[in-house]
Amino acid sequence: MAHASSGTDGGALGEVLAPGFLRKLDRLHLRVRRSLSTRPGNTPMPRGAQGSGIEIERYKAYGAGDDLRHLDWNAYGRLDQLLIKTFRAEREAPLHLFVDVSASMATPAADNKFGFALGLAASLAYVSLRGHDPVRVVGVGAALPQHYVTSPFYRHRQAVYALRDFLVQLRPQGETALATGLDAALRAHRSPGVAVVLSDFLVAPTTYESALETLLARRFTIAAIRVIGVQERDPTRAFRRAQLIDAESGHRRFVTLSPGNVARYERALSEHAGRLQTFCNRCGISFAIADTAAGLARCLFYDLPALGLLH
Amino acid sequence: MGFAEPLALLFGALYGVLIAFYLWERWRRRVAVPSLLLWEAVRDDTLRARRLRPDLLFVLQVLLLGCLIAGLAQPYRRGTEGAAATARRILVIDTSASMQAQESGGTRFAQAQRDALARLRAFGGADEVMLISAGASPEVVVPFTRDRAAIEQALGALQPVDAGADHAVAHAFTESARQRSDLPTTVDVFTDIPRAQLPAALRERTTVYQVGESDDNLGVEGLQIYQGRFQDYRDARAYVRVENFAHREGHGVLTVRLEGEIVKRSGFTIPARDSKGFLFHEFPGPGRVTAQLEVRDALAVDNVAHGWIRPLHPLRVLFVSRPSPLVSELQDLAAAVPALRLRVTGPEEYREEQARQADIVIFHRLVPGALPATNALYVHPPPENALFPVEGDAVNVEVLDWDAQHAALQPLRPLASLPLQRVRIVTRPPWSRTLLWSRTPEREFALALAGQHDGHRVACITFDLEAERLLSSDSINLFLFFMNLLAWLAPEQADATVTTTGEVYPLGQLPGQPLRVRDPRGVTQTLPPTQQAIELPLAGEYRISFDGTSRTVLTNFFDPVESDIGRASKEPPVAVTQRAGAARSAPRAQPPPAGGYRPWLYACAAALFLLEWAAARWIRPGSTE
Repeated sequence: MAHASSGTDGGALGEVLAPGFLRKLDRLHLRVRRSLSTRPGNTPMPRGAQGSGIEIERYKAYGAGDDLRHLDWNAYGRLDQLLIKTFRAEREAPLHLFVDVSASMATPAADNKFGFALGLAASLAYVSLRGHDPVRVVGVGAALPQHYVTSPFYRHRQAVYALRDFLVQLRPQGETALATGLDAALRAHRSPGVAVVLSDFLVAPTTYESALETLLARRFTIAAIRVIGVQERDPTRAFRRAQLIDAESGHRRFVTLSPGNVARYERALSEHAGRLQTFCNRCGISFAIADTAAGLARCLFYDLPALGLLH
Repeated sequence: MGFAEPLALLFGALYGVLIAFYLWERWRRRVAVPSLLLWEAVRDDTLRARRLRPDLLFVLQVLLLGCLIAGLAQPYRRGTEGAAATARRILVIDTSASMQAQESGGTRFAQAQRDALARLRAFGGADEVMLISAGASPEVVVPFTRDRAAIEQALGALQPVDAGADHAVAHAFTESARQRSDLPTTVDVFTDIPRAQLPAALRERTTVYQVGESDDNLGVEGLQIYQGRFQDYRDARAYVRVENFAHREGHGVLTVRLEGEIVKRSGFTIPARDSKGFLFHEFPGPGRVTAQLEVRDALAVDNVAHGWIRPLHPLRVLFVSRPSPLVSELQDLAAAVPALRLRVTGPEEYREEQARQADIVIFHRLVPGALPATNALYVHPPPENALFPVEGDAVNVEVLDWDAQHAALQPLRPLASLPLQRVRIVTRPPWSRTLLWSRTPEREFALALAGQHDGHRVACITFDLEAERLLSSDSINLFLFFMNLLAWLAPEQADATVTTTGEVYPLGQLPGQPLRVRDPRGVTQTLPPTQQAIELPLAGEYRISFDGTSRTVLTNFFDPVESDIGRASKEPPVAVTQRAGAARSAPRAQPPPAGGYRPWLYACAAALFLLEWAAARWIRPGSTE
């Protein structure tokens, strides 16, 4: 568990939890294409056909194995037939917010990618809570015990402040552990739902593909949001010639930003994003690039609705 | 190779600073990036940074620093004498008379001095400088030296002379110095002569700094005193020619003085580029004649000219002859010529003492046994004599040829076909030269001989003057030849000599050594006993004295080329690419061009700086680091 947060992170959260911004978020709804899970308390049965609920869907003839608690005794008295009442199941869409808490999310600091990701997570959580869907936040990073840390499921809108307290305790550090972190988190909480992965995805493609495939295997509705900053897009704003230090591995590399090198970097950046997007498209994963310079509002009210994650 | 400022090499320690700064600059900038994943496509400079593999910028910076340090150290190539010079400079100052011309900013010579001084101060400190004055007799005023004070002092002490400049000799000096030098040698000429009018060889290898533009000059271009050998001052005439060298009409007054007293003043107007002659006569006595122009022009040295009217020195002639018509003819001649004092004596009365009292002894048909201790003329020597062995006689011969270069014949018209009746054919003595020739069908023989014998001038006329009617109007050439021969036999000992500036005056005839010479500027110098001649670069009066005796040499500046001070154009200096003359023979590398290494090093440094700046902009776009 990481502790403390930067002022920038708190600032992003403060912006999200401001009353005016929350009123804007009230207009948003999480769009779920398939689901999902039943309410807690249901006991899984071998057949598992009957969902729980209070709204009667229809009657059907009793069959062996049906739950006698749903037998309509009044109908049996009048009609002398064993009828079983079936109910419209009340299903929910738990929202799993996987936030990358590796050190790369805090680099470069001017981009404030981590603060942006926390703000975006809080916003999505608020939208989901307002729709009476449970929400949990899972921090994923190699520096964390078992490579992840998770919050409990929050189920009420007022819980957004508790969620904020959880978020502000996260601190980006260590290497990225998307695959192992997600796998570990999903083993502990098997219920499927909507999974939103907030990360810069600056790992080998096999790593993030493995992580996303883990979610796919568990029938999650997945959205991958690539968080990027302006300095990451244009490193010439930061330096011309320098010794680059990998924020996660500590590896170093001398780079001179000649025009040729700048072109090579931009090409690599484009290819990385393109490959990620290609993978997501192929797997039915919603994918969006969130630019920190554009701001939370643009991402929430323009990019994500365009992506179909919100409406 | 050496360095004029070796301490500047200590700046080489800056290389260490540069390397340290270079490495530090590499390491000091550390930037954290989210991942090096995206940078794998970018060339890694890690190895270069650790191994100090310099990039283009570093190489340029090293070269730039090297050029600056080398420039401060002032490298030079050591010559054969171990001199630390980077180049050799030759300054040639025109000291001719025209450089005295006044311009708006002073004389041309003063302007040339200023230009030369400015040029001198622009030279590098290690340059060796030679100063040459190009006057009538060019000389190396200061040989190659780095002593700027000596050069400046000598330059300031230079004065123009009253004569033309011999630029060819000055060029020979510069070429000689250039050939001996193993360093790049430049020649700067400061003159009023346009570059195009200089000798081609000098023009092609020098940088010419031209001064002067004015053409305002009126000058006395000739003062001729007409006074025959046998004329006194009353018959003397002076002819003065004044020339206007300006391109506009000139006015002035010509004053002629005799020993300072005004003889005549004449006002005149002379059209542009024209001249005018003035004739003066009736001088009240002998002495120095001065013709002076009272004009306001740019050049003063040609406004004065000097002449000399000799006092009467009678020529004492002893004529030794038997009674003859020639005696009466010579007596008539002596009566008509005041400067000729004739004494006649017979061969029997002739005594050697008489000869000593005469300037010339004329022996007619006689050669005495003891030759006289004076100048002598033998006319038609007898068949038996020891001085001019007679081989035979000839009659009715004509003059067929003559020595036109001899003083006795120079002013005469051709003497060909002059008939002569009786002639002795004599054997020419080895000390004599033939003045007149004739020939018979068999042989060629002399009609007149002249030469130096036993310290005296001796002449011989082999034909008989008695038969030729000396004073006849038909024999005018013969008469003039006779009088010239007398004049040659007894040359006049002039009290003053008139010559032109730039000439060399022989001192051999003056008694004793050493001599003191006072020039027209009043400077007296003592000549060593071995000096046989002096140069006369100034116009005016030279007084040469020895033990209370003295003689005067009057020098005039008569040089229409120098007096014509107008210049068609004033050309700016044109720098000439020099090359070391000795480099052709020296196997060593060609030295850098004129100006030494230092300017080139600084120029390279500037070029490297620009190159480094451009490279930095290319490598680091948007940055001017």
